[in-house]
Parts: sequence; structure tokens; C-alpha cells
Amino acid sequence: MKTRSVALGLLFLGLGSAAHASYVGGNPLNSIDPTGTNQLVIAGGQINGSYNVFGHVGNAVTGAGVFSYGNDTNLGSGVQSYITSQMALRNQVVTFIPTSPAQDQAALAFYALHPGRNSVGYFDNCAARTNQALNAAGVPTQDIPFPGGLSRDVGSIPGSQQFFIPQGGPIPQGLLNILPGFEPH
Amino acid sequence: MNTASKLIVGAIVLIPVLYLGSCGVITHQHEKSFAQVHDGDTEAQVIQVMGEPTDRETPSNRLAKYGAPECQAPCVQRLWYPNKLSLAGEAWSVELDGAGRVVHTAHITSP
Repeated sequence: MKTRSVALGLLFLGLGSAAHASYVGGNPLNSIDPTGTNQLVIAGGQINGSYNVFGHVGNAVTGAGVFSYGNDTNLGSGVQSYITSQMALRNQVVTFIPTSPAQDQAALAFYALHPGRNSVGYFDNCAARTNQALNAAGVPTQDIPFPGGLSRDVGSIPGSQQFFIPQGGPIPQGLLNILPGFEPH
Repeated sequence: MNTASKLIVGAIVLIPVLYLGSCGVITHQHEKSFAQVHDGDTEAQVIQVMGEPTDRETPSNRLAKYGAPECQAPCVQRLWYPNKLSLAGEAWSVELDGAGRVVHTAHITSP
């Protein structure tokens, strides 16, 4: 059952092989400026035994924490603690997207208009909310309303890089290096 | 269109309608009950309004399937009321402190 669930989670996340994970696992990310402004899209696969077959997705903004709607996570909370908490439950794919300070401010302005951490539903769901924030920031997406599709979509943005985190960890070192920049000030 | 075809078409139309209707009814009933639960209520009051929970979570026994953050102090127990027809994992949670009083409630819509 667990194997099936993991396979489904990987399917929704668009990760069909372990080779992909090994590709991102040891990436030193020399091209990422850890002091710059950037965003993360954090997508999680299906949880074993969960009623939710679609997975979950949230967004993190430089210096402002994580914005994960619908799973009772405080908006603007710590990014590494969030990823670690989710890591106990599911596989994750974290996509790094280079952005400008103005883009980050636009995303935060969007989130300020949506202060309810569980204020999403079937159609205006976690993926839709993340898409809307990215679009508000001028990051083009295809508005795919599913976590896995959104994760694949943002993975094709020029300059983006993806990290695979298997359930139980570990968090790739390249991602650990840049996470402090996303913690809330 | 013969009778068999009509039955098949009818079933194709009816099944989604029944599913969505049932799912909506469950959501509405839980929402209505959940609105009557407030911080400070006792566990007995919660159960009187919401019914017996489907699951009980404790800090040492995290229920992964709900996808929520850990039950942490002052939470010593979390009562779960899932909408079992929801493909998105909709659920309602009520957190109780050591005195058995409600300290936090949440309507999970995307675990």
C-alpha cells in the first residue's frame, strides 16, 4: 500500500524515476545567490492513507516564510520547519525561482489580501492560490490547478531549479544552503 | 436509443450528481455543527455538537493522513472529523488542552 502511495505521489509530482532525485540531490547550486530575492514552490505528493489524492503545494518568499493554504499552517511561518514537518508525511519537490524584490513584494501584497490560512476550497485551492500569487508577482504560469502540474510547470521557468526530498528526508544540501534566506524576518 | 443505452447514460449523469450532492451535504452538515464549537468548550460539548470523532490524534501519535502540522502544546489531543467523500481531503479538527478544553479549531481544505 505504501509503495503504491509513494508511486502515486511521484506520479502527481511528475517524478517517475529515482534518477531525477539523484540529479537534484547533490546539486551544489553554484548559480544561486543565497543573498538574493527568490521564491520557492513547495509541492508535496499524496500522503499514504489520505483522502486527498492530489497532494499539496505552497509558496515561500525571501525573508517572509511559507504560505501554505488549506492545511492549517500559519502564513509566513518558518520554511525549513515546514518542509521538515511535511517531510515526515510525503515526498516533496521544491522549485527555486529567481525573482526580483519588486516581484516578491507583489506576491506578499497578494497574500496580504488573503489572510485566512485555510481560506481555500475545491476550485480556489492551494494550487490555484499559489498560481495567483506567482502571477501577481509577474511569474508566468499556466494556472494548472493541481500541485503536481504546477510543480512541473514552474520547473520549466528559466533559471529555476528543482530539489527532490523523499519522505523521511534528507533535505538536499544545496537546498539547505539557501533556506535561511526564506525564513521570516 | 434503446433501454440499455438510456440506463448507461442515466447512470453516467446520475453518479456524479449523487456524489457531488452527498459530498456537499456532508460539508454543509459539518460546517453547521463546526460553527457551534468555540474555544473554551469542553470535549463533551464538542462531541454533543459534532458527534464522536473519526480519529483522535496526540503529540506522540501524529495522524499523517490529515497533513496538518503536529499537535503541539497546548494541544494534547486533536479530534478529527473528515469528509470521507472529499477527494481533496477536507476535514475539521478540534484541539483540546490538558484540561479538555478547546484551544484551536480548523477546517482543513487542502492537506
